[in-house]
Amino acid sequence: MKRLLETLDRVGRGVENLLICSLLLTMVSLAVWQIVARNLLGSGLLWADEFLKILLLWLGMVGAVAASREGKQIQIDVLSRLLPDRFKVMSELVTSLFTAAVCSLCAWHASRFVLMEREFGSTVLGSAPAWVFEAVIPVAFGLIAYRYIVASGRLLLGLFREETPCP
Amino acid sequence: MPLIGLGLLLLALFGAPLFAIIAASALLGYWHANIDLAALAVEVYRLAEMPVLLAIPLFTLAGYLLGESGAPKRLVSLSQALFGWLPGSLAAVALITCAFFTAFTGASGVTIIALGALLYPALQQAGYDEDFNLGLITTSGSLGLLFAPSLPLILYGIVAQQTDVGKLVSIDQLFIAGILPGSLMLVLLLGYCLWHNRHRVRQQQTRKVGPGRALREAAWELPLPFIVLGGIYSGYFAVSEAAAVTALYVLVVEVGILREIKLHQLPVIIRQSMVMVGGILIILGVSLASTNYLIDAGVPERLFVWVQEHVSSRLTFLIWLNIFLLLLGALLDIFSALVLVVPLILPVAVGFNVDPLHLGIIFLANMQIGYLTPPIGLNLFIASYRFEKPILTLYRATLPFLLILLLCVLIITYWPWLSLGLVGR
Repeated sequence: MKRLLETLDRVGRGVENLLICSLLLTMVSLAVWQIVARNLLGSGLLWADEFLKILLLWLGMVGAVAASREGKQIQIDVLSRLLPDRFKVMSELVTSLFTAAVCSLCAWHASRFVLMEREFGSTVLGSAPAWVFEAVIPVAFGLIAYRYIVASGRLLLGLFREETPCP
Repeated sequence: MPLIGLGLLLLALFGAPLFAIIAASALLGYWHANIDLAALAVEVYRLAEMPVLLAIPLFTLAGYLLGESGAPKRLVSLSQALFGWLPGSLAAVALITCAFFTAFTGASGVTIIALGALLYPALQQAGYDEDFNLGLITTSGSLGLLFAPSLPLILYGIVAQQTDVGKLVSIDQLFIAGILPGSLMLVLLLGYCLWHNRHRVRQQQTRKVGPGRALREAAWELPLPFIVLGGIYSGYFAVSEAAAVTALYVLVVEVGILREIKLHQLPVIIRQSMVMVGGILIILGVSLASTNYLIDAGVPERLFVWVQEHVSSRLTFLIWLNIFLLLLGALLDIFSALVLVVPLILPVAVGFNVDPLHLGIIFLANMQIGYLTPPIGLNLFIASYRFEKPILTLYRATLPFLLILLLCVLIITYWPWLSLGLVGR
């Protein structure tokens, strides 16, 4: 079980890095190409501006998943700084479980939105199905929920281990 | 409902990620108003409808790349070569380079880490007293927030554009509005540094290289402000396009030409920068949902009516605004504060005849102080961690700088011309 989780972690990190780098570098090159094309050729690629905005959504979502993997989501930690260590673990556990629950709820309703869009047949970039690009939202929330579930599991295990007295 | 609100507040204070708190409150609001919860995703998808948002990842990438390259070192030696003749010159160098750098990195703590590592030992070696050094470096970490193309300035513009108040708020106007207030902070802090070190003997040999060589060495970085500002104000680029050009330029220079960042380091730096961007964008995404709910529920109007009942004049409103923002800045980071609070107070401020551009500058200036306000100002912790000093030492060391910035905030708030004069409003 532990090995499976570790492998998943490694693969996940690799996929994130690949996605982040390729999304960002595509964004830089495409955005600069648009400026060059507009000024030299008179007009840029028609689909590019819309595509750039979709890239941004994807980059933001993948970035948010990466941020939760590294525990770098923006947060206020006034009280947890002042707590004694034992309570710190408890408060981390509660907040992680809360985050996991909220993200699961978001993922569920976002996937409903994506399915509705699929049924409705909305399109972007001319004739591409919109739901494919929108699917990043439920997937990202789902992955973030997963990260916080794993984190809570780890905290719980730590708590139990501490409580078994050493012989 | 109030009980649940209290619960969410407690969870936030105990360190639950803010985006989760905001998402939870949006979902609750929708549920309460019988709106399909899938609407949350519709709002998050609006991230893909604002072209100017592209500026955020692109400028952040440029900032992180600059931070990892030799640019901070070249910048320091250039300012030293140019201003080395002043008494207390190294302190002046620290302020100016940090301001320049923060404009590009958006006060993410990168400045303290990248430049502090260079400037702190240099100041120590030059014999400045410990408290002064620490205070200076910690303060400089958020100086330059009001200068283009700083991220918070861009984000304020974006949020203000989303909040329709009938007055145009464009990002290029915000960039101009920030110039004089930002310079005021810089000048007053410079003055304090010179005054504090007035008895010091002039450093004989602070400069290591001559101005000519320092200029040549920094030749690749120097055009950056001109690319950004020149491009935008000549009408050649939109803000997001200037960001794309800056990112590509920095990428080519630091990785391709100077080769200070090796190709294999690039994915790590890109990941780091996008972790920060992801953290900001997801908060923005879910707060679009919560704000939308608040506006539908008429909260800004009710807030305005309530404030009007208790506050009679523009002046008293500004006083309360300052107090509120200082407290807010001490508690929330600048990005969350922007997306959460601006949609609520902007309509109120406009009702009291405060220009949206002026409000933006007041907002950011107050937030900048928040970085230094005990007990939890972010820069205090970054500096305490980076320089291995107890946090209490940092509270004491930053106090004089904090007071000067407070004076600046008061001037900025009560003298609107400073923000609006150059824009011509």
